[in-house]
Amino acid sequence: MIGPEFPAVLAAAAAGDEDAFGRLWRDLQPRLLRYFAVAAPPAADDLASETWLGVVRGLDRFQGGEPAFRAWVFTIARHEVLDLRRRAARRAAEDLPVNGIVEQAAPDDPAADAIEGFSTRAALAEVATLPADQAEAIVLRVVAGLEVQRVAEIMGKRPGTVRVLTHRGLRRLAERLGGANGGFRRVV
Amino acid sequence: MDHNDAPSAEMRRPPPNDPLALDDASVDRLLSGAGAPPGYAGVARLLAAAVAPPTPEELAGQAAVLAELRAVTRDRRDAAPARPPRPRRRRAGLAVVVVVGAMATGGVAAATGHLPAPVREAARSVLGPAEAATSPGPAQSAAPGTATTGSGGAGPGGSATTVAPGPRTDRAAAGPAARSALEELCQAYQEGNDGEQGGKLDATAFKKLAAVAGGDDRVEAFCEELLAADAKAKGPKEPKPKDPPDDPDQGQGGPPTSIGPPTSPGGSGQSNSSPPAEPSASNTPAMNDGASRVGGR
Repeated sequence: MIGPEFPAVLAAAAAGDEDAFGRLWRDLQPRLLRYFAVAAPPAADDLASETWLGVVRGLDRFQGGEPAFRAWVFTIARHEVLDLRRRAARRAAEDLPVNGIVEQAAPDDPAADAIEGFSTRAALAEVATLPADQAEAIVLRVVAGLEVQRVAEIMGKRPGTVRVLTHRGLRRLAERLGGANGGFRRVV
Repeated sequence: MDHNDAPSAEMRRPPPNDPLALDDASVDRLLSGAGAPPGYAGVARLLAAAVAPPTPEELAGQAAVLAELRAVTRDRRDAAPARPPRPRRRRAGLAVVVVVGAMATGGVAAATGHLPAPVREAARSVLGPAEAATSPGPAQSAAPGTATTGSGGAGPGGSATTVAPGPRTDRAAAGPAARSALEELCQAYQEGNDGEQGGKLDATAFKKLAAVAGGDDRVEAFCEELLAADAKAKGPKEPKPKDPPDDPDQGQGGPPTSIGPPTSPGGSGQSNSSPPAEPSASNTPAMNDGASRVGGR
């Protein structure tokens, strides 16, 4: 998050200032990668690149504050995911190998996670085992840091639906992880 | 395990028989790292890990996007002098060669005495391509000494009428020789621009330039664009066209207050009160300084 300086940073970035753009990038790139790690794991790097391409091209037309900017970036990101899924579906329909979407990766080493806590990667992989809508709602709220209303806009759903998806996803995670000692009890 | 024993008044009561039931307030607290309801300590730890500070790997690759930024910014600047959209015709490139060639063979020859050396060289350098090109002919008829500058109009007689006009000519098609000839002309034009009339660039040469540029009044912009474009070495290749979503959440210029509780878990004050991050790569902004506290063990 950039904070009060955001309008100046955004304006400079839109004018081509690389330092300013770098700040936007460093703030959002890790979040984007984590979003993609849940929404389309094997393609995360590519999708992030595509997203930034869209950001670069649209930056001078964007207007709004930092929350709106974030929401805009993640709107582009989600379009990338949907595009990827469409392409994958087409390839599947053509009976060609599907490269884009692969089944979710399992967490690295659940036993170690239970002792040492989650790595970011393991945590995202765990979220990614949820039904796609639930996983996406949670990641957009937590990782992207967006409010319910904006998540709803990005996902094309009503805010109430986003709340329900979030509840269900969290609950499912709780059932799997347990709560008493915060351990990671899944047996693989 | 954390207990949240101060339920807010407005929260919905979970069914008492469901140990994992959540109300909205608890969800918000959980998502923001502010605390875990009973049964959710593991989830809290997981979410904390999901917003852990960025790793160096996640912050690699900035150079690529900056290169993209440079390319787009440059394209935008080049396009900045607003001109009416003109059709981009492949023939335009050929026309450039024809015009410059014609200048070399015909008009310029007569005016050579007035031409600075660079222009003569430029003219010479395009002789070949011009002759190879199937000239429609009229270029030769441009009366060398008689045309005057400032006669206005985007379509001066003679060769200009054969030119598919437009500064947005497909210069690549004109070949390096013609391009550099144009550059020479432009340089001569710019150098002589503030001198007395006909100082550096004589009337005919100017007219040819105007014809290529699409009009007397466009010469300046055309030359600026041409020289600027060529001064900067070949940039990264044109990125594939892709439009971002059209409506970037217009007018959301509201208070930057509500990035949402999820952004600042742990209440570590990282998000809103953090000092402005220096734009140095080494200073990696933490996504969540308070991550380790979120689980609240």
